[in-house]
Formats: sequence, C-alpha cells, structure tokens
Amino acid sequence: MNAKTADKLATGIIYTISGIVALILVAMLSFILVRGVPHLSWHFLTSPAKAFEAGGGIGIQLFNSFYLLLLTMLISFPIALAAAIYLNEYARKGRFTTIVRTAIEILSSLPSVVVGLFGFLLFVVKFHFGFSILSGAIALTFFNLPLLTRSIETSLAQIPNLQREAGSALGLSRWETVIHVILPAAVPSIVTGVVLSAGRVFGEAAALIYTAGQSAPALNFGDWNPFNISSPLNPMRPAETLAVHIWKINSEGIMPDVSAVSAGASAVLIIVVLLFNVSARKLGAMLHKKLTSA
Amino acid sequence: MTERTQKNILETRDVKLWYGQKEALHGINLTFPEKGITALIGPSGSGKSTYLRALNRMHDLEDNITVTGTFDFNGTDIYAPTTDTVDLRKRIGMVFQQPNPFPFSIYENVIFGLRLAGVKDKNVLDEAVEKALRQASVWDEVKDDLHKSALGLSGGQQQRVSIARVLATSPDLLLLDEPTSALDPVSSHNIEETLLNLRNDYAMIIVTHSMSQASRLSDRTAFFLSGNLIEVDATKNIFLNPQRQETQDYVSGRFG
Repeated sequence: MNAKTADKLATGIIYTISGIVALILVAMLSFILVRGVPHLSWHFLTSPAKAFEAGGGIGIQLFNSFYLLLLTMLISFPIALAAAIYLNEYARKGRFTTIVRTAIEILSSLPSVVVGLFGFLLFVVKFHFGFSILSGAIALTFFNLPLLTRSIETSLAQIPNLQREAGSALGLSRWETVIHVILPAAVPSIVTGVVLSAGRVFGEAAALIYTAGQSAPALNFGDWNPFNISSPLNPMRPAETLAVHIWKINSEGIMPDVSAVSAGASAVLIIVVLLFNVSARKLGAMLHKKLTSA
Repeated sequence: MTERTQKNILETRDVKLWYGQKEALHGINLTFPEKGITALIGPSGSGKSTYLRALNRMHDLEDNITVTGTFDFNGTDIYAPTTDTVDLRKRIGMVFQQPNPFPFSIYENVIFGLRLAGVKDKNVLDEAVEKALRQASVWDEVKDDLHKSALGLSGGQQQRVSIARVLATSPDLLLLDEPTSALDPVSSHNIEETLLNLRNDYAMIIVTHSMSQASRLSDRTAFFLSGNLIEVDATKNIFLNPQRQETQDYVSGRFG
C-alpha cells in the first residue's frame, strides 16, 4: 500500500469514527426531543407535580434545579477561583502543590453517588441540615469544585507569561497583576467554563437523591422571605430537582401519565443543558470582544 | 576610555548570577550615565539580557536564580531587602522583545500605571495619554482609535504603545530587551526614531543583537561574551577602534 492510499484510508476511518460519535449524539437527542417536546406546554413547565392523577407539571422541580444550581455556584465559584489563582499564579513546584493537585484529581473522579452518601451522613444527619437545598448545594460543590478549579486554572494558564512580565515590569505586585491584568484577560474563558460546568451540575441526580431529597413540597411563589418554610428561597427545605424527579417517577411513579411526564421532563433537562453549552461559547466570545476592544 | 563628565544614574559592581549551580554572569562592572543610550551587544548566550533583567529584578519571578553584586541606582541599593520591587520597577521601566500590550483599549493600556497609582482626574489622564503616545511617536497613528483594542494594532504600533505605557509612569531609566527583534524593518525603524527622540530625556539601556542598530542608536556600547563584560566604551570607539581582540572579531563579524 503506498502512502497516498494509506492516507486516504486513514482519513476515511477517522471521518467514519467522528461521524459515528456525532450520530450517536444526534440519535439520542432526537429520540428524547421527539418523545418529549409534544408534552411541553406552559402549564407543564409551571404547575406542580401530581402524584396520583394525570396533568401534573414540573414547575417546582424546574425552579429547584435552577435555585440549587445558583447556590452551588455561589459556594463553589469563589473557592474554585481562589484555588485556581493559587495553583496557577502563586504555587511553586513542591510537595504541597503536588498534594493539592492530586487531591483535586481524586475529588473529580469520586463517583457522584458516593459524594451523595457522604453528604447525607455528614450534612443531612450529622449537621442536622436535613434533606435540604443547602445539603444538596454543598454536596454538589464537592462534585463541581475540582472541575471548576481545573477549568479556571486552564483559563489562567492560557494568558501568556508576557502579560505577567509586563505587569511586574510596570511596577505591579503579583496580586495587582492577577487582579488587573490576568483575570480581566481570562474572564471570557472563565465564564465559558463556569457555564459549561453549570450544565453538568444541572443534570446531576445521584449526588442529590440523599442530600436535597426526593420530595418537592408545595411552594408559595408570593412569599420571598427565605426564612419561611414555603418560600421558594428557603435553603433549608427539601427540594427534588428535575433530574432527580425523572429518576424517581421512572422507578416509582404511579400517576397515569408517568411516561409523558418523564419524556417531557427529560426533554426540558436536555434542552436546558444544551442551552448552557451553546450560550457558554456565545457568552465567552461576546465578552472577549467586549473586553478586548472596550 | 572616554568617561563623560556626567552623573551616573546606575552603578553596578561585580555582578554575578547563577542559574542553580551554574554561574552565568562572572562579575560585571558597568555604570550608566543619567541620559543617553547604552547598547549591550554580544552573541546569543553572552549574558547581556540576563544582566539587563537583573537591573529591575525581573529574575525575582523565577525560582532558582541567585544574583550578587552591588547595584547602586541613584543611591538606592536595588537588591536591598528593604527595596520595594514594585516601586523600583516604576522607576526602572522595561520594554520587552515581544510587544505585550494588555488586552484592553489603547487608552487603558497607557494610563494603566497611573490608574493603579490612584489618578482619577480625567483631564490629567487624557493629557498623560497624549504626552506618552507623542513621546513614543505613535500619537498620530492612534489618536482616533484610543478606545479600540491595543491588540488590533500592528506589531510596531503595539511596541510603541508598550513604550508609551512605560513612559507614562515617568521612569528614570528605561530597559529595552531587544525591542525590535520581533518587528519588520519599517517598524524597527520607527522604534529607533522613537528612541533617538527620547535619548536626551532618559537613560536607556538597550540589548540588541543588531550591531548596526547599536551603532545607529547608542552613545556607549558594552560588549558581552560568555558571561563576561569584555569592553565598554563610546560606541564609535567600540566599532572603529576596539581595544580587545574579541571585540574586534565580533564587530567585524568574524564570530557570533
């Protein structure tokens, strides 16, 4: 076989394999969307779930998912940002840095159900947080922290060293260089990373089953005092998320339209995650344009 | 040797530098007058850039580098533990081989140092921007695009904006580390013009591997070889009448 034929053959194989990957994704997405989209309606997206009769919605679960995501990000982003800045800008090679990096790697490979059980024992039981959004958000933070730290660290590492030299040559301290030069330059790619990780957090179920719980008590959307038990903002209430809801009704749902609800909820979940992915890139590109050409 | 009857802005004695265990500079003695351009020439690896970067403590950013010797900068001991590198680098500005504007607008780039120093008055900032860009001879080209990204400029313009950014902090001494080696001939020429316009107001030390650049720009030239300072003299003497054989060989292109 001469070089040209080999090249053609290799190109063909690579194209085929990439095609298969794309095909699997398209097939899965269209299956879920075709089955689910017909069940979507404003009523479905906004009304509470019903346990025994048809016509329930996913309103509360949808809200819970977003609220939990927000809380998780509020907890994990500052920690991840600080850790990433330390690792990329301050840490010198040494035993301590190696330990931190290894810890992050191990944390990121922990099975989410194990994280969930740990969260259950520590926060739900030991700290008496109960099944609550707070327990769920902390458990998800464990899950999210390593991924987010890694992604922010990569964003920082992409900023050329010339910029750091320029900063210190201008008389900036290391901290000032980080705050005024490196971070602004890295913002677009950090935002992309944050939104992408939001997509993963949004779809997480296993870590939440034992922490945020599997029930979605009725909420009063007229009451925004976070200390009231029926307030949507109360972080101490149990909160079944969309992904947990899908898992739950498929394993023990007894409403007559269970398959329709499941299909519709799955479609919503997929659409939101897709939106996160698409908007992550768009947002990053937009910010980059805006920040670099003022 | 022709020594000028001018006050020195910087005197260095017995400068040695180690990368780990390896000694890269073997005791350099060099002084720099208050105004004018000194060129550091020599083949790659001769230590000229290494020496230059020791002057504003850029080596502090690296682990594993040790610097010894006396550095007297207008009465300040550069390597004294009490010397604030942040303050030091405001007085000793540096321009790098690669133009390195920040990813902000031209305006924000130039006033960056002033803004951090807490200057808020818009008139003061506007004036500083114009003055610095004029000094760097790039004002006419960018004056209508001040609020566009500096990254959109050509390499030569970016380099002059980088120079303006340094000038805006009013340094006493300007270090230039091969400032034109990443630029095309036209841009290089523009940078050289810029530097010639500044020679009466600033002390400048330029590292260059272009001997013609050194001869066009500098008042004094120092020749480095293998971590040693071989010879320093008025540029004319170095090129026309060097005292040392190695200098003679280098400037006549016999090695390096």
